[in-house]
Amino acid sequence: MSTDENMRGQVFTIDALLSVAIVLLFTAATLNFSLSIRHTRGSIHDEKLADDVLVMLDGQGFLQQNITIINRSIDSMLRNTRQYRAEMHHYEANGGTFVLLENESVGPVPENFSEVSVSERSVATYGGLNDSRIANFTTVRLYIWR
Amino acid sequence: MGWLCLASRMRCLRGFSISADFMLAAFIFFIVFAYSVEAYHQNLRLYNAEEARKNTEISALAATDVLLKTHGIPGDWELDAGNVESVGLVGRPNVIEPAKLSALQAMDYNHSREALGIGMDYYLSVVPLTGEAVMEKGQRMEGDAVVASRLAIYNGSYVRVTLYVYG
Repeated sequence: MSTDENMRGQVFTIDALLSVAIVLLFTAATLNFSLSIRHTRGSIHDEKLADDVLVMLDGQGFLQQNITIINRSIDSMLRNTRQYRAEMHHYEANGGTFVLLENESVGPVPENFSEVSVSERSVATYGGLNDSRIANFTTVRLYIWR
Repeated sequence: MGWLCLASRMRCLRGFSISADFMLAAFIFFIVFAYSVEAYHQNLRLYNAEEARKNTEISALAATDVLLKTHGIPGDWELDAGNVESVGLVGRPNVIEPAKLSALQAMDYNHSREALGIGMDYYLSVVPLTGEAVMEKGQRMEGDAVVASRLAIYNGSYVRVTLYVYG
């Protein structure tokens, strides 16, 4: 049997191929959209929670303390409802620039950053009563996740 | 064309091709197409419901933001709660003032709904992280609720401020 005879009765058109491709694309897009809806919920709620924690720590003057005190305070606020990691970066003014003095951190590094909410707050210390220049500042970043 | 068919049946069918394979392919194609259209409509319904819920969630979080980040309007609204435009519970961010909390508890429920800026039924509680609720307002209801939970300080203790909004 020749190849031509084997092909007898086969119908192949670009139109058919195109229509199948369009339907498959449409189905894939629909499924992808469906999955994305479930992920758009985001974590606005946890962002607000992280912000609350830092605002309260700031109000109590803890942001200028060390990481151990911060860790203890966060622990007493979140009470195992969330996992967290806190990072402190201390900077000091040095001739018009800020030099990183020290990094401190507590808590595990999150594995999946897409599910992590972050809040950051900085506190500055000025040169003195008659000196409005910033002498040093500390940035505290709080990551929370479930 | 009718006179041609009468003249010769073969001439009438010239150019037509039909096979079981083709019918099966068309059938599968339409099944997939129908599934896609149905999935699309289902997603659209899901998306609309999710959007509505998200808007309610944003309203609830915004209401808790106003409660825990502002003094309210006017700033001393607790002295005359009948004229309150916006309810704020704090003097400093996230530090609840007992007088403002008491004034909110005493306020007419319908009035408080408007003053909170949600316009929907709600239930608000302020509960220490260890202990009994220090304040509850509104009614817990059956059904789906959007919950906004925040942390604050009340009388030197950490409290959880939880707002349930029933859309």
